[in-house]
Parts: sequence; C-alpha cells; structure tokens
Amino acid sequence: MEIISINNLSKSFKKKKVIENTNFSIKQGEILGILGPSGSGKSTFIKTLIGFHKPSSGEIIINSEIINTKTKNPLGFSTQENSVYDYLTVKQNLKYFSKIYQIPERKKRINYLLNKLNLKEFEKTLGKNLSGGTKKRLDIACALIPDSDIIVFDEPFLGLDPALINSISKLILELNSKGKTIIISSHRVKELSKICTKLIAIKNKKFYSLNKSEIEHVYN
Amino acid sequence: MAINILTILSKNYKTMLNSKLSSLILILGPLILIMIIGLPLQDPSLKNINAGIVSPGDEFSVQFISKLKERGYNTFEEPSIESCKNNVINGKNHVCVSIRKSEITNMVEGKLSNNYDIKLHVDFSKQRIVWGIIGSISGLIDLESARLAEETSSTFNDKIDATLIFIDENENNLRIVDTRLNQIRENINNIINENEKINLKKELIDTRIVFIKEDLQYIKNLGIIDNTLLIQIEYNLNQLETELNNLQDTNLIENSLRNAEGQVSSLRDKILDIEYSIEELSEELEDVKRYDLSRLSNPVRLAYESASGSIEGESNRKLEFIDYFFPTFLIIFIIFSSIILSTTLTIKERSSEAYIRNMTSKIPRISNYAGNFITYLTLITLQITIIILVSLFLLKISLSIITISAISEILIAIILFISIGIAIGQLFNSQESALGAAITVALIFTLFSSIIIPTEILPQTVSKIINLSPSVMLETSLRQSSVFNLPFTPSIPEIVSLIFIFLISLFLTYIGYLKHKEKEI
Repeated sequence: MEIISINNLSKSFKKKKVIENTNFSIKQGEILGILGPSGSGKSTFIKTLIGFHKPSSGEIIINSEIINTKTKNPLGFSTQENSVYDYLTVKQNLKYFSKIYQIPERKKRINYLLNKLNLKEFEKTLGKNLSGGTKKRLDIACALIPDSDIIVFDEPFLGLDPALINSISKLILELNSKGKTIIISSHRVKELSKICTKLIAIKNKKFYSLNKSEIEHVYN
Repeated sequence: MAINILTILSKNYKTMLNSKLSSLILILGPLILIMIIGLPLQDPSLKNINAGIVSPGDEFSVQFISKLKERGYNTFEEPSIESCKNNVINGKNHVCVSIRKSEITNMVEGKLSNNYDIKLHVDFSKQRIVWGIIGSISGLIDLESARLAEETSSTFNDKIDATLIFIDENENNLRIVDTRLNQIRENINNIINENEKINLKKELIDTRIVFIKEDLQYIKNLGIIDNTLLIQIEYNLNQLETELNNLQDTNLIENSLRNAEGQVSSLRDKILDIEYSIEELSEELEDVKRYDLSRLSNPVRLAYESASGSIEGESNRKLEFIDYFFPTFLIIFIIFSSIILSTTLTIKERSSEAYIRNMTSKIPRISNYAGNFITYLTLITLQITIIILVSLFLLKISLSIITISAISEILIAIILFISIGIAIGQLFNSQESALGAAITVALIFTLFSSIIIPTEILPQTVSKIINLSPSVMLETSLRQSSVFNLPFTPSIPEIVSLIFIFLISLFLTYIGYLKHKEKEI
C-alpha cells in the first residue's frame, strides 16, 4: 500500500531549480534511502516533504492527503542540523516539542524516549553541552515524539563515529520492524545500502530508483 | 491559542534563563545603565573643566579666577591668547577665557576707571558641554558685573547723599539771606516813611518861617524894637531856611531808597526762585536715589523658572534635572532596547535549528509570533520596571512622575518599537545585517526626535512630518505626563501615525516571513 506519492514534484528557489519533475512512491513499511552528494537537493526534498517548503509545482500526497505548508503533516523528522534548542535541557526540549506537537500523555512519552535513546542521564543537560552523538539522539527523540507512521531522517550519520552509526542504524531498523515507514537521506552509500529496502539517487536534479547493484554504477 | 502562546512564552523564558549571561545582561544591563547614566545626572553641574586664562593679573582677574575655581574649574594661566586658543583646539583645555582691561571715563567721579571685556574661546564641536561652559562662565560674569554695578551705584548714591546735604545746608543759608533782605526792605520802607514825615514837617516849618518872617517885618516896620536884634533873628531864620532848603534833597534819598527797596525785592524773588529750584533738585535727586542704578546698564532683565514650579503633589520638592531628563532617557532606552532586543531574538529564533520544528508543528504560526511578541514585551517591561524602581530608590526621582498616562505611553512605545524590531529581524537574513539595520533605525528615531536635534530647527515641512514620528510624539507625551501630569490625549494625526507605523511593521514582518520562507535553507 502506497503511503507517500510524489507526483511531478519540482522545487526551485527564484531561478535556481533544485528538484525537477520528480515522481516516485513509497509503500508502507519501506525504508527509502535517498542518495546524493552534498548540494544535490536531498535536504530541499526532505524539507518539502515535511511541509517546510512549498513545492514549486507538483504535489506530495501522504495518506491520501496533499501536503503543503498549511497542512500539518504527520511526519516525524530528524534534520542534519539537529533541530533542538541549545539553551533548553534535554528534558525541556522534549517537553516543549511534545507540547507543540500536541501529544497526549506527554510525561509518559518523554520518559519512554529518554530511556529508549539513553538520554536519561542527560535530561538536565543543555543542548549546547551535549556531544554530537547525544545531540543526534536528542534530535531523533524529538522526531519520535509525534509517534507518526512515517519518520524522515536527513543525514542521520553525518559526523558520527561508527559505533553511533551502528546504534542509529539499529534504531531505524527497530522502528521499521514496528511498522514505521522510514525515509533516510544521506551521501553514505554503504550505510544506506545496509538498511534500506529501496534506494533513490539524485543526479542533475532528478531522482532515479536504483537496485543495490546499480548504486556503484550510478556514482561511477 | 492562549495555551500555545504560553508554551512559546515558557520556552523563550527557559532558553533565556538557561543562558546565564543573557539573564544577567537582561537584568544587570538596565541596572548598570541607570547607575552609569543616572548618578551623574543627579548632579549635572560641570566638573573638572580646564580653563586657560589670559588676564592682566589685577585684583579683578584674581578674584574672577578664584570664583571659577570655586565652581569646579581647573584654571591655567596662559602666556598669550594664541597658546590659550591652541590648547582648546588640541583638547588640553575646554575653554580659553581672555580678560581684557578697558579704560573709560567714570561718570560718577569724572576720572578714568577700569572696565573689563571677557571673551570665551570654545570648541563648538563639543556640543554637549560647550553651552554648559558658556552658561556657567556667563553666569559668573553676570554676578561679577552685577557686583561691580552695585558698587558703582552705591558710590553714586553716596555722592547724591553728599550733594543733598550740601543743598540742604545752602538752602538754609538762602533762607537766612532772604530773611535778612526782608528786614532790609522793611527798614528801607521805614526810612522812607520817616523821610516823608520829615518832608511834611519841613513844609510846616517853612510856612512857619514865612509867617515869622512876615511878623518880623511887621515888627521891624513898627520900629519899636532895635533892628539889630531883629536883623539877627532874620539872619538866623534865613540860616534855618537855607538849612531847610538843603533838606529839599531828601527826595533824592527817598528815590534812592525806593530803588534799593525795589532791588532788594527783586533779589528776594530771585532767591525764592533759587530756593524753589533747589527743592525741585532735591526731589529729583531723592527720586534718582530710589532708582536701582544697577539697572541703568541692564534695563531689561530676564528671569526664568519652570512653568510647573514643582512636582504635582510635592509642593516642596523642586523639579531636578533628573526629573526632566528621566522621561527622555526612558524613551531612548525603549527605542534601543526594544528594537535591538526584538531584532536579535527574532533572527536568533529564525536561524535556530529548532525553527523548522516550530514551523511544521501543529501550533499555528501566528501563535509563534504572538508568543515571541509577548516574550519581548514582558522582557522590556521588566527592564523598564527595574530602571524605574532603581531610579525611585537610588536616584530619588519622584514617584508622581509614574502616572497612568505615562505607563500607557511607555507600553505603546514598547509595543511599537518591538514590532519595528521584529520586522527588521524578519526582513534581514544574517544576524550582522539585521543588527546593523536595527541600530541604524534606532539611531534615526533617536536623532530625529527632540532628544538630539530639536524638531523646531528643521524646515517647517520636515518638522511637521518628524513631529508625527513615534519617538518625538511619545517622548513629548511622556515628558508632559510625567513632569506636568497631563493626560495622554494624542491628536487624530498622531493616532493615525502610530497605527500606521504599527501596521507597516506587521506588513514588513509578513513580507519578511514570505521572503525568508522561500529561501533555500
């Protein structure tokens, strides 16, 4: 069953085209990897998908609903910049985002996430004082607050050590095993090919579906 | 909506409180500012002003210099006017005071007396103190000039007193002369009267002599008695007649006496005229004495005092400089603090990594803006409250300047300048450019208010427009409410201007939001 459908999606900033006439779909329970070098438009696609940017043309349909900047989409997302407040503690961040995502039973959800992402010991630590890995875990925790069926990760492995990459990969697989549809953008071919069920590559503003065997060929 | 705004508000305060430096600056900033600015304002008199002096070194100059020192001036004797002026130009001295002696004829004593020309050479580029220095030294010169004028008028009065005494003495002498002349005139009249009696008697005697002579002739003709004896008698009668004829000249004496009497009368009339003139002169001199002679040199005097006199409800408390300056200081603080704080926090929030979550959350974007707006509003209000409280307790400003009108004006100013700050924060992309724009806008509002450039000196059309600027309008209203306890009653153009600027800010905020939203992040 298709959960996300991208139809003729284009996105440009003034005269600069970033995404051009893209079409693909994602089935429920899939792990979609979006591959592309830096500046290829991965983040723009992710930000358009989560409703931050308005498509220049075309549409994104999630659960049969057309997504735009006015609709509040049901996606959980983690960005490459770690979208958390540096001057809020881990717990304050989770509390605040659970409020703005209007989550019922906030305390329970926050405690669950603190334990799940091993953040309990840092709950009173300010975001700015967290290490890169812990901050990424906090960002992922924020992405998981709405408990949505689709979770988007933008460059989740960026700047992390192999142990952390491994840990996050495991978490993604675990989420997927619970029925979540996952979309990951990254330029790390190896990590993506390990966990993704479907891969799409971006080249010259266009998206190409790839078999695992095609990956090396595309980039070469 | 309210819960959403509270969530944003709570988040903003938490981020602020978690940043120790931010909290410290927010609370200590106004405290330090009011301490630094407020304490010197309590005593705004000039201190440590260096004055170069070129003087003739006489008693007046020494006295003048010592008075300058009493007023807190550091005085330095300069060898020449050129070096004195150079020291002002190179910043060593604040003012060069040139004292020059000029000799003029003293109107009282009719001899040469010393007068002084004092010239100040100042650096007009030091706008903030130059008029203070000129005012202070002019005040001292006025005092010295008044002292000298009083001395001169006192000498003049002494001279008048001496003249009046002299006149009085001579008036008495004149009265004595007059009395004596009157006596002389009376005596002359008596003599004339006596002379007239003598003339009558002489005529009678003449007649009698004629009768006697006729009788003698008759006796002689009778020849009874010896003629020798009769001739002897006749001889004696002729002698007597001759003597009596000699007395015929008494008419001449009488004429002379009458002339003398006429002259004495005329002299008395003249003396009476002189007496009358002296009396008039005395009265004139008494009038001159009653007149304040120091005003001869300064016939029109200027005095000024506050139209309000004292603060409402505190009749014994005179308005101090700090009371007049405080409303202006508050508006300057609100302009800078509101614009810069809201610009900085807006762009900080916008460039925050977490911004994307706020924008894609279920909270309406308007709640985000409203939450942020209320955060800035409460922060600036907190700062203003700190400033007012510190000023009340430390600077002893009057509590009565905090009126309901003043509070309304303060709130309007905060709301308006915050909205301008948010618009700037939305329009610019980088923190540096936004901050630069915020400072520029704040400076423009400060410069084109009555605070630095009085609107009255601008061309009329420009002045009319600038008078509708919120800084001018609110500064003027706040001053009037605080100092004169007047209610806040803006005119329709003023209300329109305030609403217009607020709406323009909202519009620019929206434009900035749209512009920013379509940029690649």
